[in-house]
Amino acid sequence: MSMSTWVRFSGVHVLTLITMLGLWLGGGWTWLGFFAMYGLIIAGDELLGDDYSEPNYRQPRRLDVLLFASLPMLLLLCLLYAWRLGEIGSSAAASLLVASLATMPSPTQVLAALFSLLGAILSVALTLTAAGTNVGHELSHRTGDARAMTCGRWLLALTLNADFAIEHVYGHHRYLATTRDPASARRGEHFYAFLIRSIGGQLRSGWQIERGRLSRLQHTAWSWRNRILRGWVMSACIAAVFFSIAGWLGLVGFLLAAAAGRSVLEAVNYFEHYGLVRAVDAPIEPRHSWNSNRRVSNAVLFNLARHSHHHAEGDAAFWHLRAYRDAPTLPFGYLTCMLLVFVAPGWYRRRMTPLLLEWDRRHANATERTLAAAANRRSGLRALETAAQQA
Amino acid sequence: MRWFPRSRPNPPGPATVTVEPLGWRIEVEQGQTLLQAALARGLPWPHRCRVGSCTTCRCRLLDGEVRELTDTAYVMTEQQLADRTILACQSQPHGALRVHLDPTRVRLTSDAGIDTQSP
Repeated sequence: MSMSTWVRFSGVHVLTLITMLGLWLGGGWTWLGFFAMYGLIIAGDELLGDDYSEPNYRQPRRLDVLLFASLPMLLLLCLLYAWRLGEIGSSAAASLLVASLATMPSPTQVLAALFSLLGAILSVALTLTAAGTNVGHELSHRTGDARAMTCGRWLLALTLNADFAIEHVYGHHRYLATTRDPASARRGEHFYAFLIRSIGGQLRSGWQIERGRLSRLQHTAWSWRNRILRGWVMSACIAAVFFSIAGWLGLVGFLLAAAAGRSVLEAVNYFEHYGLVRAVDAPIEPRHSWNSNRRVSNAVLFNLARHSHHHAEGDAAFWHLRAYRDAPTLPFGYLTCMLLVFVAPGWYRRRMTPLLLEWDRRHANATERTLAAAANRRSGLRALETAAQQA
Repeated sequence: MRWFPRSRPNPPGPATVTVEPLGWRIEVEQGQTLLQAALARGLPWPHRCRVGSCTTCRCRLLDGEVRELTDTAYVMTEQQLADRTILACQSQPHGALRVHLDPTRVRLTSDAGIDTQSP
């Protein structure tokens, strides 16, 4: 394994360290992780372009150490975050006390505390997703490896989402790009509508899958064997640690960062399959995912952006994922798409419309063209509706 | 999915798998699944998701033991669990195996119309 390979896939840990530094420094520096993550990855993707290389690593399993390192790194990050929440809480309480004692209120101090708090929440949320959810996703595909599954589920529990390890594998990988998959965004669907539908749908689907397994093994759903309930207990343990370190602000701070982190995952879910269609019983092909070969996105996210191959061959570890140049390709890198989906969801949908129409012409088979025309008619977007009328 | 799991077990194999009634003989390397070995030999084994969710690659175990990578109770019916139905994409053979693959499902694999009866 060459040094450059190690450096490439260490990016997410460098970003975690930057977030930790920001939390340590406090004040406005809590935003450091947020801006480093967006700034470095977006600039890197734009400047360094695509990477189509498909190296044949010798002993690629050595790279596992970088995946497993995420758990201790993020536990450390959480401790630092809890400590910072405690500091912000006590300084805000002190300033409020001063304000009530001296008749002059001091709103600037409270505002400064809120500003610092917001920076900490967003920086931690983004880091929990990049180093936590993403690595948890990779590990929770290794269903035959108890160590990987446990580590992966704890990483996912940091964003209240340990049940992802069930719904993602047995639901999403089976139904992607069909209307049966809650985590596939439909044509014309607004991101914030998708956010609600996807989270609710995955919860329902995951529960049904787990309840089905337990009932076939003659167990009731309400038992310690239920892996969804156990996942929630894992998150509750993390929440309890936050509460014990920083009280109510610690608990609220954890829940807010976890919820924000979960919405980051949903933004990624949104653009990974936006508008793509497939018959439920049809084979899963590279065309059923939006792909990206942006160099920095793939380095930081352990090749997650090579999503076409991930779904076509869900048993391939990240180091085997190939470029699939001809697969439908996202217009930007992952962090750029994410930012656009959050702040300009309407613009993002319009940007994707010509790409969807090209998908219909170039990639879709006959059945999918019919499904796509129906999806276009329902999309509520004029350009897609017009295309459906002309078809 | 234990709380304190022991380290990763060594993957089983290599092994020879006989597929009835098609008469295929598949050499499975250490760490490979039955499906990976079949596809590497260019055999048209029916498959779709490759992660143990869709059950397209299911077959019946007639002889031998496998290590299953997923908890197949997630996707199998009680009947399938009872008659030793396994998923080729999630099974690593412990020694020689004999399996039964429904030949009527093999011919349909390359098309979108494959029958994949849901549990």
